[in-house]
Amino acid sequence: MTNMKSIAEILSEVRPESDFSSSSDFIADGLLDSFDVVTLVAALDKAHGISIGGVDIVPENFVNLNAIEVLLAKYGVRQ
Amino acid sequence: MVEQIVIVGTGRLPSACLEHCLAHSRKPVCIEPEHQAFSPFKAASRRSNVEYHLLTEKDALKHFFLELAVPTLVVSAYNGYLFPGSVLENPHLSIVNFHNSLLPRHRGRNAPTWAIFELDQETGITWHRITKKIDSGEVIAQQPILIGDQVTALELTLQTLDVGAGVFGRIIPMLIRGECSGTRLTLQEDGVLHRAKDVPNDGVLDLGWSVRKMSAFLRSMDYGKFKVFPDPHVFLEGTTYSIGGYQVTPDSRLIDNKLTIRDKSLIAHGEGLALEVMLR
Repeated sequence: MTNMKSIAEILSEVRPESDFSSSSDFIADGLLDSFDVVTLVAALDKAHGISIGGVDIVPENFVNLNAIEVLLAKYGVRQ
Repeated sequence: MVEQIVIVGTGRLPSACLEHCLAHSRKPVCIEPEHQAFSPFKAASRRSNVEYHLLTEKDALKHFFLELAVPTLVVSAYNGYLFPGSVLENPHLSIVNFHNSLLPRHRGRNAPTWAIFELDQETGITWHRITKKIDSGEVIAQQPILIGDQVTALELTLQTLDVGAGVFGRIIPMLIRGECSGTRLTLQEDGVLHRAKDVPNDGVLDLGWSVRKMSAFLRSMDYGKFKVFPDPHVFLEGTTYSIGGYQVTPDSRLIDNKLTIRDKSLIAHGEGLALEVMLR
């Protein structure tokens, strides 16, 4: 659960006013705009020492915590 | 008194404007002028059960605004659509626009970039009326924002959006009542118009600059992974290097603009800053 907590913490830092825990679809619920996603990607890059590519900055990779976790796994970040 | 409100824009600012309208018992019509992969505006419109249209064709947008025939407040909030003259001549429309600088300074595109690059101490936001001349209409409200020593263009852009939303919340009652008078900018105040194709110093890091200016240049180009500008570059010993990253940190040592080159890095000290520039 270490990474899941880390993602949740980073999300809450990016958008402290949003309640991500009550949403199963961050995009459809409008919790993230493009600025948030770019800020989130920068924070994930820094936290895990990776560089998420532009081709991966698409809505389906940021729909919920599980989707972000799958994205991180693609870059070798695992639980 | 306006009879209806139309919000046109993308992202978090029009979403916030929508919330402010709803708080004043007004259900606006929401227009998004370009497709957005991440669209909180669309989500907020759906959640609030208000009319939403994705109108990406200029003709469709023009016809929409030309057909408005009752007193309408049009809120242009982070909106890339330029209203054509025929729309501006529709007597039923009162159009207010958000701009992310203290007009008349930094008219046009990427204003936070230019405020940082030109070492402005402060920038801000402006809500103003729209005229045929870009970012030159009467100013309705402004609020300054101090520019931090290490702030990037992306971070400053986000600050302007949040401040712009807050100021809109304060002026919306007056806008609804049609009582919002503006302050006309004088010709002497006519600021430079920055175009989308304009890049600070043509994207070149000048090694003759002070450390503070080099830092400002790099931060002014920094929109994270948004490719607003091509990667900055630097000419060094007859070779052009692309700049892959940089880091600015405070440096309390008293060093007078010292520049060293180590492996694939430029390291500069001075003016209370340490700057490391990674070359590719």
